[in-house]
Amino acid sequence: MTIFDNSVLHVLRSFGEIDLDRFNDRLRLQKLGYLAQQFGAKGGFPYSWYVRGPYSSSLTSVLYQGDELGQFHETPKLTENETNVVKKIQELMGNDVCEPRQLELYASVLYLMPTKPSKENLKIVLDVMHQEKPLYSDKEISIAFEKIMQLL
Amino acid sequence: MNYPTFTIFSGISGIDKNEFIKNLIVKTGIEDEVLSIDFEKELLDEARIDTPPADIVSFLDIINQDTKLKLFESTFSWISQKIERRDPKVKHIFLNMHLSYYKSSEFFPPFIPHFFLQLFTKVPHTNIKIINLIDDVFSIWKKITDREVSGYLNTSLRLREILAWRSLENLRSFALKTYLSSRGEGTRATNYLVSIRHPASTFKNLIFNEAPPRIYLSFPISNTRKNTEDVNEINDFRKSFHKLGEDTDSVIFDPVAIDELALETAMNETEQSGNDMITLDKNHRWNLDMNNLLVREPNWPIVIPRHEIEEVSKDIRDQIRSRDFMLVDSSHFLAVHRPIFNKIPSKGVEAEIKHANEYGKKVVVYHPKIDQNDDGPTTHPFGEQTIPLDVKEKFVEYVQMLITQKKERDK
Repeated sequence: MTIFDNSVLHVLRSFGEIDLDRFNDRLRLQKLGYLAQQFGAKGGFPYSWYVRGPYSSSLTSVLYQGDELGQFHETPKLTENETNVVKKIQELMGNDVCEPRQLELYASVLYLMPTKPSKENLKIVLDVMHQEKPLYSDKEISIAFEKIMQLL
Repeated sequence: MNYPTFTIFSGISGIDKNEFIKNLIVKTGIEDEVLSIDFEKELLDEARIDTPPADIVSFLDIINQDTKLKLFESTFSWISQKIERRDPKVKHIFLNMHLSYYKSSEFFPPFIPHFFLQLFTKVPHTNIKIINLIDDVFSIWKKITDREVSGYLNTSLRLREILAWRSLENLRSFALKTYLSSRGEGTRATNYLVSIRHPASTFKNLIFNEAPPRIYLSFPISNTRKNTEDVNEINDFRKSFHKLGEDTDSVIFDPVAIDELALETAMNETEQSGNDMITLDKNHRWNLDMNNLLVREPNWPIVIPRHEIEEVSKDIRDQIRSRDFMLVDSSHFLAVHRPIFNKIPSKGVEAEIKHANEYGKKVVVYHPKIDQNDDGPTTHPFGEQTIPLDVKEKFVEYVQMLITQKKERDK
């Protein structure tokens, strides 16, 4: 067992190549990693709030290490739990699963949701999003909130 | 547009960083291609402000924290302008600085990584490397003590203080790397803890190559250091791998490039038992036996109060382990030389192999027949993820193959 035998990394690899050269690819990996972990993939990557929403320095570090050691060349065989996580992400994101803007929105809304989300909590999420991410409309945030609630 | 490489050389006082950088530039022949910036020189530059502090001690003695911090921050803006106005020929930018200062039991400045960002607005797509240079604690102690004698007052430090400062500098290097990386959702920024006593090729390959293969040399140290024959045998291995690194543009990390066990070796000598002052000679330190280093030998002998050594002995042992693990972390694979030297297993090497395996790194081991039990198993006792080879040439060839594979993968 190495640090690369990790459910979050398996899920990330199932969504395509690990490419760290471009900003949007890195953003995509960060947000997908966050969604995967929140939906039950065991990763152990601590996330904190950063400029573009949830971000994990530990994930960055492991991705670079794995990339340099050639650990991400083969597509991993997913466990049942990992397959379910992938399905959940696909269900949530639909065709936007590789779209950085949407991934940032969904990961951020999920991060800001209180532990027990309810419709009343939407106001809190909206308030923070207005401050931190004014580029998203209330409608976009509300839709993301609703869809995440249904999946949790 | 091709942007220059950007290397920050961090490290505490008492290391010959200026001499090191000067020699690195000359030995690698990049005099016309480098913009080398000394942060302290810029901080004290009269062209920058009307009445700069006379020297760094005067700067640190400024009582008002805001004034001091303002001087510090404004130096970044000044350097940023220098970077912007660089000669088009510049391919490499070196920034030489302490990420922390320590004087009269106080550290400065508060860690504000944000200050650095403006530098990189001038070179947006550069691969930032932070090289935190370290040296033997006794060598730093000696340098600072000698400086004190020559009139650089109130800066003397105990061994324990030097270790604490070095630890903070290391943390700040790591924190800066993490911060700079996070600004671009994981931009490539790396930090390395490297002894200043590595050969020029290690630094050349680490700095000028985008992602060079990096190899950590693992070998028994505690059990072999007292026997000249054993040391010579290991030195042959070290030197052949440094040559291999030079020939293949790879980085070789060598654990004896820093050797603080020398303190314990000297203190435990029968001739020095009961002495209040311990004398360290060149022969207490692992003989590096290399001629292409970028800094000079320390000013031997070094005479240190026994109580200072006793105070740090345990910490030094603990730090050796964690530092060597950091070097393993910075490497792509391990080249292990005789882990069961003369049939005595090395615990240090064993721990390094296990650590490397856990982090998915290939471990190639030279385990000759003379180290194997006559009736014992032929498999390597340190686990299945190692590649044990009992013929030296095959061992070297295997490492060369890994280097080639890594380079092919990176193409």
